[in-house]
Amino acid sequence: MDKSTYLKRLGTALREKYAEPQVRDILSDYEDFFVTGASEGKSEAELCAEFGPPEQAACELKSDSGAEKPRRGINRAVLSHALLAALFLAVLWPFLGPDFQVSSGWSIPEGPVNFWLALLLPLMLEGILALWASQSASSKKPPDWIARVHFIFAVPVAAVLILLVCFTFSVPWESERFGSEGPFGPVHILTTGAYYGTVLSEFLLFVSVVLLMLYSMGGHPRAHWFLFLDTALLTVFLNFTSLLSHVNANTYNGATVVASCFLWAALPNLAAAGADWAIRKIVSARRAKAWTVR
Amino acid sequence: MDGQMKKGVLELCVLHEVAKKETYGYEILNTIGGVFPGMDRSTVYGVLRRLNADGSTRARMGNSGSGGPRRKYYRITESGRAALRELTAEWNAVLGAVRKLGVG
Repeated sequence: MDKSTYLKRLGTALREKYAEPQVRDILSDYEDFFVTGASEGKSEAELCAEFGPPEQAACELKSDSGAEKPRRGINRAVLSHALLAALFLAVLWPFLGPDFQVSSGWSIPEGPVNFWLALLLPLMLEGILALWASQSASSKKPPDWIARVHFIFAVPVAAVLILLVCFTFSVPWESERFGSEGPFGPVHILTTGAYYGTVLSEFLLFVSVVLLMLYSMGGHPRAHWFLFLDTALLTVFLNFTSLLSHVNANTYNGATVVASCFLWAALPNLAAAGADWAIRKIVSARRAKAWTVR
Repeated sequence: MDGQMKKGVLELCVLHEVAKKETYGYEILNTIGGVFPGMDRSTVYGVLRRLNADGSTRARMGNSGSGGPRRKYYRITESGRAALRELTAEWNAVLGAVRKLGVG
């Protein structure tokens, strides 16, 4: 193993337990050791062997560093993201009345349901994700594989259930979409084709949720960017089929609605990601101050 | 060597090294790692870091002798000296007790 591989692996192992400033502090110490060791005529491979496996080194630091607090239990990125997105939506909600929908070409019986769902679904997913992330991050032991599988499937299943409930109650029973079959009709619940989504978009939704959960496991440092991308893409996917049918039927200006869907999904996410970034900067600046050379 | 005993002995050794003179991280790791066969230097680093965190030692950035890169130098503090005295006394007591039984 050479120096850069060692530092990389050590960094990865450390980031699971420590905040960024501490990780950087430790890594700079190791870099220092490598430089000094090299000046004493040792090769990088020899030094790596002396330090021991990087993962083990990270564990040694953990067990020997009672004074260093590990990462906070709650995944701040996911939580602040979900909270801020909800806040934005609550503030903007009244402005999204029927007038807005009509002006963008969505007639009330068929358009808004999809539109609201497109906004609500990512928020619900993020709420569940936040709960899930805080739960998984606070457990002391890393979960075994059964627990992992359980976590991975619990969230999408819960998301789909919430979606079904929301869908069932938000669509009027007399809506033409359901015809005479009612909300529990055979076709319209999940693979509703023209109305809600195709099998493909449902599948993509499922995959994106699973991927996100994997990323937020252990508080992935870029969790909020993945969430942002997920929400934006999700909105487009959710609306794509219905948009297409509307555009084909020439009932409204498609571009306006695509733009507004994307915007309404992207804005809160962007703002939340920005706020989260700012929080991180402030927190890490304070930690760095506490952790500079004493 | 494992667990509490390793931790205690290593603390004693690191404090002892740092008490002798102000010294830099790699030297501490190397000196102590060198006398304990099979011990990872990272273990020693963990102990050093903890001692520094609880205020037994203090670090500063300084220039290495021959115009080399800047590195972290550690020196012992007053509370570190007190801890060293305490650990040394404990160590002697343990050693004496074990010797009395005829070990070693």
